[in-house]
Amino acid sequence: MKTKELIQKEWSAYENLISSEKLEQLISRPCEYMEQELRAVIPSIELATDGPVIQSVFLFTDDYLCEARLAENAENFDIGLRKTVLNYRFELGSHEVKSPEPQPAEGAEQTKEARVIQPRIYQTAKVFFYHGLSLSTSIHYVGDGRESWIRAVRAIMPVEILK
Amino acid sequence: MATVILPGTAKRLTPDELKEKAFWNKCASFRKEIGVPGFWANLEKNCIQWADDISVSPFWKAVKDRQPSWSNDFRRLTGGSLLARSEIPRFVGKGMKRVREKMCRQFAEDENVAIQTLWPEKGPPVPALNDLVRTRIDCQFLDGVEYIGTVLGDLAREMGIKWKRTREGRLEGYFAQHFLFEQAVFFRFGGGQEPVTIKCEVQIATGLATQVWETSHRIYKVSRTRLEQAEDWQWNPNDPRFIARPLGHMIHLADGLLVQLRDRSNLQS
Repeated sequence: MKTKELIQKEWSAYENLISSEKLEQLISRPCEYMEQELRAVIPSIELATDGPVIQSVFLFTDDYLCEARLAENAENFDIGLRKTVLNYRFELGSHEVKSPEPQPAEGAEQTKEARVIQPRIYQTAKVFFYHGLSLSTSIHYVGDGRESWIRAVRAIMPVEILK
Repeated sequence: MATVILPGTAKRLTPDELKEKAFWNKCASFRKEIGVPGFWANLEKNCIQWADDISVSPFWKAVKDRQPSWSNDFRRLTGGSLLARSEIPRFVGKGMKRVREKMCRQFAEDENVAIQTLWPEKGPPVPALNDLVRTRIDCQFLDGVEYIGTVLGDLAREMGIKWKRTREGRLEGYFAQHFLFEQAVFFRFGGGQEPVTIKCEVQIATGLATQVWETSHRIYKVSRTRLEQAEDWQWNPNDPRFIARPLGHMIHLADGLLVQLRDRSNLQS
């Protein structure tokens, strides 16, 4: 599958964070250097003060895995062998973000009952691939669709890769 | 200060209060609704309702939808967070005490101000203020303030909304950008309603600037109906404003230094 088609197929859940056009532009060089057809594109998402942000994107081919760290004015990526994983670790959890108290109208009496603002609860996941004693890869998730994200990780990096 | 006792009352009015009274009489003769009992309470209810309406308006909904993408773009550009909080805030209505104070202050600044610039000649009697409904977006970094102002403008243009942006830097140590946009709402009164277009204000500032401004307002509640002269506090180290106002400038400087520090740290890493 061509890169563009793969991105269109797999990126819809993350389109609100980075558009597929932008992503295609950001990963063009690592894709070129790997010289293999892309099998999967999975974001590594972390929680910033203003919500989930994509720190890097993992690109998988038959032989390689590549982490492309996203920056507008720099290209920063590394490539490793995909099937050298010795240990596979999952850390799943949740993270609660409390919203600030709602403000009353400026200079007004509080005439309405205070709104009850529910805290925002994010699903979280950290997946570690240990390639040896000192080399590891970690890919993170923060958001509301953890199961489909983990499914994508397991599809391209099944546990049987350890065999 | 000279005071005047109004006939039939025991209340002494200062010259400022007399001017204020004259101003409201002038307003009430221009728009008779202003003198009707219950006018201000009704206007306040309308402001609160408009704040709720605008918080769920297509424009503000689009702002909320685009925020994750803006935050990601900003991080890629700068390596830092765009917002100091996790969500785009709702709007709040301005209380009538503040509305009245602000209008009086505008009158105090120019006693010859045309009353038509403060009240519309026709249509619902809604004061021509920019911030009857307002909200404040706190940014993590100073260049985030500029970024948010720009993307809000782009979005408003895309949606065909009238808008204006100002970059405020005041002697009083207030640094923020104001994004004003127009929204059609209903002015409700009695059992009826009438359409009216109001201006909504989005104040954009760094989290630090917001904290300093809000804290300094709490320690010194300056009269908002009178003009303040810088000489009142600039040479009086015992005046709370002597600390609060220059602190606003220092925080603006600190916000700028933080951007430089962030960028240098990005370069080194």
